[in-house]
Amino acid sequence: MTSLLAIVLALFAAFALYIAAQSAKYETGPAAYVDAGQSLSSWICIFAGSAVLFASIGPYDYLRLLSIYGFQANQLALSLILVALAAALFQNRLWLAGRITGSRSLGELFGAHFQSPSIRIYVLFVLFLFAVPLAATLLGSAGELLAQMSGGAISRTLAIAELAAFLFLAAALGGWRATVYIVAALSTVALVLLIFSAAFAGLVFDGLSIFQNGFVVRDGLLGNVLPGVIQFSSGIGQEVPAGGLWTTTAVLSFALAAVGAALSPSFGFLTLTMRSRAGFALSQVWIVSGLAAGALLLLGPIVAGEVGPSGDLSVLAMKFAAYDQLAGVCVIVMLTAMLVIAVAFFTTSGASIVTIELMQRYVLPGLAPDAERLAARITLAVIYSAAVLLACFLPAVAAVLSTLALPLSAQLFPAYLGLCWLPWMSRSAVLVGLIVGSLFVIFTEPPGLIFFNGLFVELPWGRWPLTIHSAAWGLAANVVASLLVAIFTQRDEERDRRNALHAVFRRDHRVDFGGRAARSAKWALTLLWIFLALGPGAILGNTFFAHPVFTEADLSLGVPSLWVWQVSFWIVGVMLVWWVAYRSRLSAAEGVFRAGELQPPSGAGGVRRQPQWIAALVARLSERQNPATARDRRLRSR
Amino acid sequence: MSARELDALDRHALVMAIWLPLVLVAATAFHYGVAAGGWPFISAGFVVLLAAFIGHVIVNIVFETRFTASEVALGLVTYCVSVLGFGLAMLLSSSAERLYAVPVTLGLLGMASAIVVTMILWLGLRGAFESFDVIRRFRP
Repeated sequence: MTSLLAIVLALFAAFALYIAAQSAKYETGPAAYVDAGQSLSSWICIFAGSAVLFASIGPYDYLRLLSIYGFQANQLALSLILVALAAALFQNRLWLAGRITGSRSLGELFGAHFQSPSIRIYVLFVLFLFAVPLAATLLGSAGELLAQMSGGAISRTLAIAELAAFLFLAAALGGWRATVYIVAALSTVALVLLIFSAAFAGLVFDGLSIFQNGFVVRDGLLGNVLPGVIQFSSGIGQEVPAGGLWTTTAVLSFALAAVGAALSPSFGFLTLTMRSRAGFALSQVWIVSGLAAGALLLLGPIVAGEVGPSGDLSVLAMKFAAYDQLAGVCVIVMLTAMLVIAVAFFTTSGASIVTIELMQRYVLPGLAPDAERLAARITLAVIYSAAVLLACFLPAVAAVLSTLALPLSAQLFPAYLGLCWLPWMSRSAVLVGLIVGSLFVIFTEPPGLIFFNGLFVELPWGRWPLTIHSAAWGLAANVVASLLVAIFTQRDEERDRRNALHAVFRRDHRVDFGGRAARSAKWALTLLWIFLALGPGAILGNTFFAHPVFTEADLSLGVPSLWVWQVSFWIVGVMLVWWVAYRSRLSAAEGVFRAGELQPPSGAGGVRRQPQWIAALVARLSERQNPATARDRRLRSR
Repeated sequence: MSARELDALDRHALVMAIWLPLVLVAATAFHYGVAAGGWPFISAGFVVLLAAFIGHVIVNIVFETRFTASEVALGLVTYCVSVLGFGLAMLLSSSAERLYAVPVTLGLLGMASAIVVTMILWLGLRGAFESFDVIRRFRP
């Protein structure tokens, strides 16, 4: 199988390089290298944008968790509906704000709206977590999978290096446009091969029996039901939750963490580089909540059921390969694509954003387009080098740091609310919320726990205490702190500036929540859906379709009651997102806007002031080169 | 580069994103069908190819374009090579391989029909016929 796998992967690499070469050939000029000239067409959002949100719940890890925990982990697929709701809430207004203020990135938007370099730095830190440790962890998983499947023909290190080299080459050649094309293609690859794998498993080795027989899970785990609403455990690493980790509270808090992908600087950058808003609603409703969530809910169990309780996905590929070598290759390509989507997306967007927000703004203001492209390529090389080094030689460090990416990104929620909906959300409120929320996240995730336990005293809690994800701990503290500070600072001197943007929203882009009753219904139904699909109400699903309430009779559907509950709330969830995105016009593409209406005279993102110490450092480095040049000239003249 | 060229690049990337996974799935279905799966998998392979073709047509409708010359050439060459290969295999093979004659023949005919139906829907009956009327083009 190794040679067949090598041929198929080589074909994919050739495709990536071909698309990159085409993008480089047809791009409008060097200025468009970093952000594709903000003219990506709407189908990119439909495919690539959806793939990134799909990648937010980590489909690779999702299959692994499903095989270990059974149907309780299948509940996590419903997180995608919450992610789609968050995207519907912010994506349209983020794009409009970017066009109205002439901003090119999320940091520029937040920095200009809240007049805060600290928020820019926070955004850059979150970006770093996505682009380096998270990408390294995913690269490591892909490398490990390929090394295992090659039967030792290639080592893990070599597999990581080769994958990274091809991704880097494609991104360096074609820039942001080529990367999103590749991500879009990989998203169709992952989805189509997931459907194929499930169909193959169902037809060839009776994969559908998983719905009758349930998952084979380890002793002590409940494979067909959720293990309670909450468990008062001290957290992972301290105490093992009885029956499994995925209580309803864990599922809901995980969904909040997944929302971090929709709020991430990279996804914001993708939104800002779209030509129009035409694909937003379609992507949120039909692709993310419809197709992606549905594929995971309906097909995930069929595929993961073949893995066994070990959670080792290479077993899956081996099992397929035992029937047909090419089918085994398809499974490996699917799993690799699931991992590589996020790697390609976060690294390249990271390089583009660093070029715009750090290089162009602070280090070398006024870069010419050619120099900007060079800076982006150098940044990309640095990011890939760091990711490869971490993946190859420090995988534990990468894994520990990557746990912070999604929950810290989710802490940007109040900042998004302030930018898109609430003009009274002040800079102080957002900053205090970010600080408090981030502290809660750090101390309920491995980095904070390891640091504190190593230096000071052993903390009495582990990771995700009370089976609540760190993102939820952080968001709860963040929102409370933000609201408290906002009460006292809503009339600060920056209010007029913030009002200007919201006045444009009110003038040209009103949403249609309907009358008072309709508005209440939308809020109530959304909260009710969250309560029943992800929150404590989901516990009803354990027995609702097996031992219905208000009757003595038992039902025998032949499938787990929880799975029926999940599918039912998936269908309701898709309708809910449709109602919010289309009917309430949250993601409507209509309405005129005046590009650059609120762009400051000093350019997008406000005045570009190079800090003195950076100016001095750059001057010092460039001066050092001059004597060498002079020396060269002297040598040549001799 | 003009907006038109950018649109052409967009369309090209989208078309490749559709064909890339579906060709892999179709190849796997054919491979397993010939080895052990039998006619259902071979038929499934053709259905997948048909789905990719329909996807391509939808892209053309959305982008308001037609198949490019290189796409037509690639499609024709692939189709002719498949027909030729299949014909030779039938002539030279043992009787066991004739088991696949019916699904493959039906599949190849189905693909040809899909192309003809698309042309009729797109160009009308007369237009579709005129596309093949090579002699007319050489008239003075």
